[in-house]
Amino acid sequence: MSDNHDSKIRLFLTVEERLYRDALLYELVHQKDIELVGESYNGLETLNCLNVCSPSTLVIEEDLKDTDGLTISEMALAQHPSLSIILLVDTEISQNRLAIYLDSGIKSVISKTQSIHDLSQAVNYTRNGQIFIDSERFKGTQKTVGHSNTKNHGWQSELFCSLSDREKEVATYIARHIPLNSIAEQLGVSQKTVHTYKERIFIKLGFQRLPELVVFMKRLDFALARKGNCL
Amino acid sequence: MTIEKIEVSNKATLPKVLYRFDHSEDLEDFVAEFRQHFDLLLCSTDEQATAELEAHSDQIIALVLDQDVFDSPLPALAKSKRTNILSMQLHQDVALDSIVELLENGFINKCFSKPYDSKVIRSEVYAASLGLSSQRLNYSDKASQRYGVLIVDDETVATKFLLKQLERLECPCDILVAEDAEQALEIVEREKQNLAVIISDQRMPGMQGNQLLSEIQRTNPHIIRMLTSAYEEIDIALNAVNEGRIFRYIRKPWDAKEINALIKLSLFEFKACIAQANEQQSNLSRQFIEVLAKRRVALNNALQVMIDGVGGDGTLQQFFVSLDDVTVLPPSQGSLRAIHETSIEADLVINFSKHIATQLSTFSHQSVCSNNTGERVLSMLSNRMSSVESLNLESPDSSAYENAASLSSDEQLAEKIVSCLRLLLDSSGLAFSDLELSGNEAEVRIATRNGIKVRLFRHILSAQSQLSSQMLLQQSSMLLLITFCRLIGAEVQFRGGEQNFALQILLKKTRPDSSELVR
Repeated sequence: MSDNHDSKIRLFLTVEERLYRDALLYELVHQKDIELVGESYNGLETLNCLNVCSPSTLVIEEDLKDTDGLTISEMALAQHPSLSIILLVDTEISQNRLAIYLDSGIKSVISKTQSIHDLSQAVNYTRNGQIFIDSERFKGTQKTVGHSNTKNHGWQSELFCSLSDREKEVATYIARHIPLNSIAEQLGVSQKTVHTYKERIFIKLGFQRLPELVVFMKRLDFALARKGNCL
Repeated sequence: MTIEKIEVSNKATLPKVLYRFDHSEDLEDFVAEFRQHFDLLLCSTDEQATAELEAHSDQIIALVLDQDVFDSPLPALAKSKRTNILSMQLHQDVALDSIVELLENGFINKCFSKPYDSKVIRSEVYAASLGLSSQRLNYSDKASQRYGVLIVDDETVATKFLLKQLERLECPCDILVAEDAEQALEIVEREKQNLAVIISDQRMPGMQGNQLLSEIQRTNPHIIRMLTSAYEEIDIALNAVNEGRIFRYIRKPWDAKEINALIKLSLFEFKACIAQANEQQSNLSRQFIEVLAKRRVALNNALQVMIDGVGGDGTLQQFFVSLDDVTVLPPSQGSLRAIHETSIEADLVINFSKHIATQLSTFSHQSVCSNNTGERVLSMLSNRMSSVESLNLESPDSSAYENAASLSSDEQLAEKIVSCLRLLLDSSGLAFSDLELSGNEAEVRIATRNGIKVRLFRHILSAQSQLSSQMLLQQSSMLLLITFCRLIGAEVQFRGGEQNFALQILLKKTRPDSSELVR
């Protein structure tokens, strides 16, 4: 989307709970063009840190203990107008609410019901100050609330079906943490071939790391099991 | 001549997009990509598209041209029907000439080379359908002001030559020059109130021209931006159009006459933008004056009897006056939208009043009447403050009030005042150690230490974009602190600053021998 990829995204993350913050960071800093320049658990500290850290992107939780994330964002923008801010909200929001946030200078809104990929995507698409609205956000409350695994099942199976039979087989083995050489032995192919399958699987599914594939395969299993139980 | 329409389940809620195509394969791709997201009007001829624009001009959010040509009459027509319509051009092989032409015509907002990123197109259409407002400017245009144009290029010889030519042509602006983006950013920061136009070369050491213009678009969107280059850099030019929203793309070598004419044109555009932004800003301010005046009346009606009944006549008024003294975040388009599209105004008054009523309901003030109650309460307060510190309690808790019945009125008051203070301090990440107790024979004073301020970004009488529980809690603490302190004859002062205030509680002593309060 941009030719500015040589300049890194300087990320500041403000999330109250450590566990949640860690989980987001582990995903975001995995991307090569994101550099973490600071983090905080509250709004006031965030404002104090911005001058020193000079981030290009601020990902901030709306519901902070001291001051709400929107007010902190507006303060931050008053001082640093070029900051791209992504607001993390607790639940699905209406189109009206989305428009209020965007009119207040927020560049994208991500709810806790969305996937980590949606957040990564928003960080990338807003890097040059563009507004980014994904279709789930736009549909807002008209769309799924809760976004449970069951509801994800449709597109997950669809995505899995986009793999060839051999790729499906390899994906299943990899997700079980079976080493590539053992998979090669089992399938009677070279390790290099298995490596190529692995690369293709990751590209097709849009994954970057093993845990994503493991969780994806597990969720497929769970969904299938639930479907079986229902029948 | 038939116009194909796409049927989807919740079409009414989807943004209406007019799609003009030349090739059926493009149509198939576009429909497959967007049929679930847009209400599509598909047109293979300009006549069809014109008919649709005539029929649905007030509903069409975006016009998408998927054509080989760049000179379609539709964007101009669409703009004349609906000024804020989004016009996008999709093209297989965008040439630099086309980008230059597209900018000169000024009707196309975005241009995407194929294969396009459908997420970006969706996002653009969604943003357009929400009718988002342009960025707010803090800018005062003086009629007689002479503006500056900044030329950024590392080829200093060429810049100097251009400078001389422009002076000879009696360029209407003062000309400033920078050798690189970093220097340009310094000049922009220094001269932003006088700068109308920036012309930047693309290829420079360090930050590139498009990055510089993108940065300026975000920090000083009112400055008209033009990119210039000696190279055919299509992707960069496209991004500069789509992301940096440049006014023109100028090819090198420069023609001084052309640049002079463009500067004049830019200046005209600049003044029009400033005038529009200023009008938007004054309209916003005007609307807020009315809204906030109404809110003050509503809060007064809801709270005056309750508050003045405890703190005495004028308590609520004192709170309002204190708030007026603090400079908070100004109204934004977001807060205006919140007023028009949500029930924030009513909710604000109801929730705040409920909060105050709940707090007052747990407190009985009937027996607080003796002359030295204030001193006793402040004495308890100072003890309580030191015990709170030593216990290192992190957050306010209501446990202190659970056995309120067993406490005396004075103790209850002391607890209430401690609680309000703690909430106020907490909201700014401060602690009781940030307060100091002082006094003499005539008075006792509890105040924030020198240089320590309580932060206040928004208050109950300022513009809000949403109902924030944190703001309600902080505001009720301020109001209740004033109320309870008045009950003991103490005066609370909030000395307002920029999004903050210094706090002071002052109690005039009734008896000279009570100086033992201050230890």
